[in-house]
Amino acid sequence: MLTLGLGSTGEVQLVGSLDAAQAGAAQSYLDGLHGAVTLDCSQLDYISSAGLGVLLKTHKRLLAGSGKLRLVAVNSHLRDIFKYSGFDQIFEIAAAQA
Amino acid sequence: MLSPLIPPIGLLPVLLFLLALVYFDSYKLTKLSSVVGALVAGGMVAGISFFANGALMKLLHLDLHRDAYWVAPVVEESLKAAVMVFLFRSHRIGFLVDGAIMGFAVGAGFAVVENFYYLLNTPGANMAVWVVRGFGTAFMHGAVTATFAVLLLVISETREGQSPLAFLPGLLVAVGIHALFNHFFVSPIVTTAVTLLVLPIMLYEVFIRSEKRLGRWLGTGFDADAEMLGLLNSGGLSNSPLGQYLHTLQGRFKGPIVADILCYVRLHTELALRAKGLLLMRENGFEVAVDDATRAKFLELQYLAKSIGATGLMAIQPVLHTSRKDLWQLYMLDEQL
Repeated sequence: MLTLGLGSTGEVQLVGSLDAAQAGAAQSYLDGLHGAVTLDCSQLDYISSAGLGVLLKTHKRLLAGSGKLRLVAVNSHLRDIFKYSGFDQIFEIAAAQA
Repeated sequence: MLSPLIPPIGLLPVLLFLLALVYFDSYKLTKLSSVVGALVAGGMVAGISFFANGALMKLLHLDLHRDAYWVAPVVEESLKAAVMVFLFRSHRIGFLVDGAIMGFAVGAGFAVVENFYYLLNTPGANMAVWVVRGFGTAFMHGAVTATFAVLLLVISETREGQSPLAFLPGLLVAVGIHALFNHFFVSPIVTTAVTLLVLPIMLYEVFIRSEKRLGRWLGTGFDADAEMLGLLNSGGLSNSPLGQYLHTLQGRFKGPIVADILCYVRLHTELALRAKGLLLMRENGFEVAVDDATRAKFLELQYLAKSIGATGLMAIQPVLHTSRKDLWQLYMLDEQL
């Protein structure tokens, strides 16, 4: 299950698992966003290749409009996936906000 | 006198079609330098075929027509197939799309050299002949080698694919189409038109099926690699089935070798994840360079493979993904360095 919503500082909070079953709903939500978008991943406990595809598509669309996708508070396992797959070369992955 | 239109008609269409194939491959499975290499290999095969056909004509006392009908298709398709079997066995082709592109490139290289030879030696041939050679014969050469490659890859995924003779059905089909084309049962122009009509449909189907298969493999493989990485990093490896399996190896291998086996599993998983990440990014239009750290991992993987030895590598096959596609992805990644 995945829940997406706006946090108090305007970041998008991802709560749950971004897998193939949730990819469509996540894509629809993210398609409505523009500019520089920050994803708070502190409560994202799983992401599959389908979820990564959603992030890539969204990032590409935002870049075309001079925006970007920024990921914050990514847990160590997800950070490993981003690092070893090379996605860290595309996404800005920031440390968790205090 | 040779019309200035004839050399481009004889040589360019097949090369432009090949470029279009490379462009439409959304995962960019083939590097342009590899495609150029395949073109050159095809050209060399054309040279070898020229002498082999000549020798066989003398040996079998055949005239040019009989040679074209039967001997040339067998000689030429066997030699082009040999190039494709080499690419297949060395994991340089993994999916139907790159197989079709590299096959078409070998055939195109063959056709370009053959047509260049005819340009030099039959300057009196009229425009219709060159339309047939440039759009018909050249495309046929590309298409039959692409067909051979596709059938080789399809058969390799079946139980019969393990046989050393798995290439034979593809070769028979390639020789059959080539011989049929050379017979010109209908007029050469009609044969050319049919080739131009059928070829794009066939390749479109290959591209669609291949991209679906690749997408499925990429999705499940990426998730499996990520899960394996999570397990390796979790600190709970020894309680997992993988950890228990590695534990059983302690009785068969010395301690340092078991440590190298664990390192090998980890590096192999990291590199597999990197390769699939690269393909996922390409699918979405991102092209990123492969870094020095990945280069260092490849060197380390080679060292570990030597240290573990063939027996050790066989012992870890049950826990690693070592299908042909999995080995191909590492070759593909290595090629980017």
